[in-house]
Amino acid sequence: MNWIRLALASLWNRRTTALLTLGMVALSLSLLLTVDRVREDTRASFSNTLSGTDLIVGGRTGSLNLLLYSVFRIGNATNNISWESYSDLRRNSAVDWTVPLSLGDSHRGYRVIGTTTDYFDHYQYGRNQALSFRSGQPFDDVYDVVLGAEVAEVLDYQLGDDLVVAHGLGTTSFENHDDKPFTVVGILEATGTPVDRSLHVPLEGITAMHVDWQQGVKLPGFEISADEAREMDLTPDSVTAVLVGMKSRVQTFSFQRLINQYRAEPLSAIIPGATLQELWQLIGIAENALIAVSFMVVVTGLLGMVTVILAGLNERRREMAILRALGARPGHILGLLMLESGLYGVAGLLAGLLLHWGVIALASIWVQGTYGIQLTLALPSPTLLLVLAGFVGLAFLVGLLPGWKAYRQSLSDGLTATT
Amino acid sequence: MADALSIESLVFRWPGQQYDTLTIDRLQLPAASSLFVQGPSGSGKSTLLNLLAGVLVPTQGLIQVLDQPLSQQPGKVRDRFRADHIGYIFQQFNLLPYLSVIDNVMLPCRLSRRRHDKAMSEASSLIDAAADRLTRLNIPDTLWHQRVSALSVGQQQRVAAARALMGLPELVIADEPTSALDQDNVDNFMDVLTGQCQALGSALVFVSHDRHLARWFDQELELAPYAGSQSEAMS
Repeated sequence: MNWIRLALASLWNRRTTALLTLGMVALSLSLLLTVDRVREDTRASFSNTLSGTDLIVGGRTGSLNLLLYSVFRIGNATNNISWESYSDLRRNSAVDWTVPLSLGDSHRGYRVIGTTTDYFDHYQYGRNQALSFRSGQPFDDVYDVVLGAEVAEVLDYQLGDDLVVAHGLGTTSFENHDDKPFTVVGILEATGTPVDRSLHVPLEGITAMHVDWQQGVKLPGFEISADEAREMDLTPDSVTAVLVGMKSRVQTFSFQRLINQYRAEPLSAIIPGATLQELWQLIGIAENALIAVSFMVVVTGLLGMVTVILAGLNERRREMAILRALGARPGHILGLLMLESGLYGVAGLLAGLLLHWGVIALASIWVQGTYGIQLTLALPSPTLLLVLAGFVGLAFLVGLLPGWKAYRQSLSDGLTATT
Repeated sequence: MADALSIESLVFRWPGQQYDTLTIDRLQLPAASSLFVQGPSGSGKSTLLNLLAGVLVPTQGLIQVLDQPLSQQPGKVRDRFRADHIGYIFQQFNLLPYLSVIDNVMLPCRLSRRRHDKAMSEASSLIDAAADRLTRLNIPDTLWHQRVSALSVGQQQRVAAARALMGLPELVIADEPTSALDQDNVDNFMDVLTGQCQALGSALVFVSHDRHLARWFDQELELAPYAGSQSEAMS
């Protein structure tokens, strides 16, 4: 029958109210969709950032903090590891490889990482994917730099370009190491991890930049040129963190204990996966709260919708009486209102999805740049799809409330409603 | 041919009331003829129409429409019967404001397969059938696709009559359809309504408090004001 057409025409006749109601339902759903998408993508992004590394070692600090600053480049190190301790742990027979990381400088908002060429051999992300070069090769000289994909793209650097590193981590810095420019020798493929937003220089380069600095300020009247620095001993005093690969995974726990009890210097060693679990537990509380709030907003939207339909019933008695006169059963009237309510649900879901995708498309540019999290335009997760199907069912079901009222009304009015 | 309508020993009383709202001993209306029901406010006119349309059932007695004992059938059957066999015209506001004039006229055929088929047997399409009715009721074709609100009250009532006659219903029921019209419009409306009901072979039951309208009809029924009756107050 043409009940859907009638319901649509009737809704169109009340389009201001109907569109506002639809907007309310759509907005509430898009909130739920977006919160869930951000949650999924954040998790995926964090989980994909590092793989193949058995331990991360840093100065004594909280395990979450160490994970965040060494891998995700969020926050700052509080303690470093002395070069002696680093050399010591590297010599341990259980250790297969190490990648030292030295953090603290930046270039136009992107972090600069001092490391060794082992970084390009051993750093893995996603499902044990190694880094690969889009162009160029690993650094060789003290003043070589290898750019992450995003850095090269956004700042438009090519192989052979020179760039100057700033002291500290701000987007704009007053203190630049402009006497010692670096030359771009390699650009990495995009990985979707913080690597894309990093500049990689040799540890010696970091030392060279700071030979004429002390306590974080440049020593006045004491300048050492780039070439003079090249002749000096550029072995660093310390590194910020070390990624460690074990010869055998079995040894991970005993080696972790060894480092945590290291006597010469207070150190921390963490297992990335385990610490990530800690992070999820912490974030999980906030996530659940957000999801709960989103659900309540969706329920509020549904309640609002029912209220709007109920409030409009009285002025539609005429409409119902006409339909009755044309042979509509009271059951038809009930069905008509359930249909209307359900249509709000279906249209609200579609509009909510579009709105959600629009928000994600717009926000992803900013989120990718600021937090390095890749937001994806995708269908909701299977669980959420079930929830959404439930929502549509519920939207039809709550139509029973105004439907029942109209049913009673049309029985008592008969054909003589005068409103 | 079957009678359009026959009533025997009809009594209707609203639940909880002490007086009968309506009593009719005997009434018979042959097919394709017209009946004028006259009575003051409170005489049970609206109740009678609801009974004839099968929306209400009598407390006692029998109502037969087209030889069907309508009053003894379940609600679902009565609703179906109304959709298939009865055209109904209200006092005013007959039309759904969200449909165009011609969509309003086609509505009975969308809700009843029987009237759809009958309309299709006399015209090549529903639109043609609706156009025929609108032409018969003197609605100029410039108005057919307009919104209902673009029509005068007199035009709206004629569109309602056109709709009631869609798909050749055996019985048309009109509930004071002229009460909102001025005198010229009343005469015009009465002429086309009674004329077209006759032309199309539909019986007509017409209710009004205005006894001057009786001259357009074959039969007349006068409802007495009932001392204890409050039925009009309910409508």
